[in-house]
Amino acid sequence: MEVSEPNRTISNFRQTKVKNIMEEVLREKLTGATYHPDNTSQWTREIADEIKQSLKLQDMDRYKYVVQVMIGEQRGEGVSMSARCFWDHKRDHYVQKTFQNETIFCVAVAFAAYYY
Amino acid sequence: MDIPAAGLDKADIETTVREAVGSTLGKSTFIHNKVDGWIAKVMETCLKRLAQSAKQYKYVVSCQIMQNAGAGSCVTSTYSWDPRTDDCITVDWQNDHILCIVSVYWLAV
Repeated sequence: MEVSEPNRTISNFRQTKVKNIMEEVLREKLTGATYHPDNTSQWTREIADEIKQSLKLQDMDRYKYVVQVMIGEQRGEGVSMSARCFWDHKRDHYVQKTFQNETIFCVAVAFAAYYY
Repeated sequence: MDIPAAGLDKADIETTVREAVGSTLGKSTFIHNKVDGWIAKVMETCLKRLAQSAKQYKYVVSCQIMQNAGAGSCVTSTYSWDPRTDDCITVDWQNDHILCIVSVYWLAV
């Protein structure tokens, strides 16, 4: 007799898929780009929106998303970023991807919080 | 039907963040090997205070500290959530040597 176990996966968040999506978005948007203050605001908005829309299309049920994108000018100045979360570590996730070239560095972070 | 407003006081959270950053960075100059400690202290102070509110929320706090020497930067965030209950605040702080940006997001469970 066959007995099937109920699906015990708590989270259906697809970490690897999200990483690949974010990497692809950054590469598409910023490869060959040169830092200019007139462009960065638009780029951060487009990158954040594209990542968010891609996350929503992944059909990962019952998640709220926050996507944060920072673009900075590469001039050798010091910068440090970090995040802390007060949440359910079994269900909630974050993914971070970076991109840099000679004039730009970009850090994109996506947070996914499960709602019950 | 009345739609309930987001259940946290934005002004209160902003005050918490500004106090955390001000007390941590104050008149400091940018010291590379202290930055990670500063960021940790700011975020822990903010999260501790938020967690004390005992409301049914999850919190995300992000903090960036940069050397204030003229390099450009831009930060954008976007979200997919319930606007009736979820919200965020971003606080910019700077002195002559340091730029600090703290974002706090709260999401109802």
